[in-house]
Amino acid sequence: MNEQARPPDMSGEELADAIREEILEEIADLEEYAKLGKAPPRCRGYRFRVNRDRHEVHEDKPTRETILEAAGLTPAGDWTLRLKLSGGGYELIKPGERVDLRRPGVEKFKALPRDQTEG
Amino acid sequence: MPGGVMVGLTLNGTQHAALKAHLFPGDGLEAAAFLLCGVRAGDRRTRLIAREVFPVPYSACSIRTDRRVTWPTDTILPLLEIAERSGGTLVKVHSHPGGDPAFSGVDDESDRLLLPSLRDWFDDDRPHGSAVMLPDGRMFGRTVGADGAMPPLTQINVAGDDLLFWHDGASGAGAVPGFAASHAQAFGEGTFDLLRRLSVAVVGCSGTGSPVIEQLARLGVGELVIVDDDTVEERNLNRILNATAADAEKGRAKVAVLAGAVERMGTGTRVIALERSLWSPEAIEAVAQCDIVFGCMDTIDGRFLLNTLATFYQLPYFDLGVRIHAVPEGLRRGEIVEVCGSVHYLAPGGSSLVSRGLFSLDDVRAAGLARTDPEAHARQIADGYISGVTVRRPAVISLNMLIASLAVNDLLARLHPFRDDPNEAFAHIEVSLSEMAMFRDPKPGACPVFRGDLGRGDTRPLLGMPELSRRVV
Repeated sequence: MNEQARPPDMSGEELADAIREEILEEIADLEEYAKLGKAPPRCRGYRFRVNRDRHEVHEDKPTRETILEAAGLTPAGDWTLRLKLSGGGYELIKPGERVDLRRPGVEKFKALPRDQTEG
Repeated sequence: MPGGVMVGLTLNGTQHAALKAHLFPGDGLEAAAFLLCGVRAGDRRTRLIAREVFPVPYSACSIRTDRRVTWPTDTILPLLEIAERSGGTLVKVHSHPGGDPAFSGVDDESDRLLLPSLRDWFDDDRPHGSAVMLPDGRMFGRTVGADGAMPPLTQINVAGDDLLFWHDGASGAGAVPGFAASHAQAFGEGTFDLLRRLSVAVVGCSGTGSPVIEQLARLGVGELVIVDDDTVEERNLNRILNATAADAEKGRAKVAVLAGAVERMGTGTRVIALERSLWSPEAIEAVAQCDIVFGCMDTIDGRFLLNTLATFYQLPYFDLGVRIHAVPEGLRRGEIVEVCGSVHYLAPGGSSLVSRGLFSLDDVRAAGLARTDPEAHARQIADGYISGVTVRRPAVISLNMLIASLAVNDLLARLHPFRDDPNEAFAHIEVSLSEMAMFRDPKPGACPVFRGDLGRGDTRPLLGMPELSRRVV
């Protein structure tokens, strides 16, 4: 809820209650919401898969680097990161780019090492 | 210029587009430009490699009609000086707005005056040339030799997102042989004819290199230059096509094994096998005479070297890589977390393996140190100056062949476009078998690291690298 939407007669405590109501869950699992075809609500945290394993962040628009760091994939420059949308599409996330985790359809992330070598 | 050696001209996609825009301004009149070119003076072929396009301004031309373009010679004086300083040569290019696919009488007259005077200006045997562009972008041309004769340019090619080749004269392949009937049917006899005339280098003849060589030979590529200084060992038998236990026992060179296999195939492919590292003047010179190069190497400094070579000599470069990533330590040790591979297509003048972020110049230096001074490299790792790199990574033939196949299909798509989107949309093709997905990324911006070296051709030392100086006996 932003400042403009706050009714003039609402006290600070009432406002906090209103925000708490909007936070339906502590942690939203993005894959579950993507399966339901719903946008996740604003939460304290967001859980998503990077490749096989699940990880969490505590903001709804993390940068590419924050996501890779949460997955233990550092330095971030050594990895490419793609966002997988339900239905099968992938979007490459650029360095420094923020990802809106509440966008409907965001299902998981795919990280691959930039350098692949074998002779 | 040695007698009897074919002479070709190479431009990149950006240069070809700039040339076309200048030569066909839309007024239906002829226009002219010069290409400053580097040279690969080879034993099999001489390649003129465009460094830069210099348009002759329309306003500088004293005559511009639909049949003739004339400009004062002093327009090109500064260019002559640049060419002289850089060891380069000049190719005049003008347009035939009417689409005439041959030199006209006016062209003959003009070239008979200009080309010998270029030769006299430089007073050596570097070849200069004259070429014509037609409204659809096609080009043909000729050179001037020391004897004043003007033989045709055997081949003109554009190394861009699409790979364009124009050859002098009729088809050189004759009838399509039986072995190629079905792929000639798929890609057309024109493409088969083109494959027959191609010279392709494959650097690295192991896991990804050997299936690339297998495919190129069976497609009927005319000439393969294969480079590897390694011998077959038992541990390679899991992934080098055509390698046998007897080869491992005898310690035969990988290039000898593969050259023998191609010969036995009998598809008519000529193989030039170089049992040496790419870090040798002979290998650099042989690869630089080719039209296209596949990099199937496992070292960072080797790939950087090939990227440099591809820039100096404007070679379209397909870089192949595979990766099987297993957890190195801890409770999940040995668990495979990723099986993936990539094909990077690098058009000369575009992005590089460095600008694409595959490795940094520091990584290149560290890999170079590991090759030239392993003790110093080990010390730097111990002292924490550089990070250690795993030397041998796991490799599996099933993944190698998939990536090798994607790379050769990428080549075919660039010779004979068949994809839904333009070829610039496929600069990087990546497969993850863990995700069971294929990705492709469009080409990123040009690489600043290599910009100054584009089209330089032969230099002393080669590629400007002292390590490639010829040893004086």
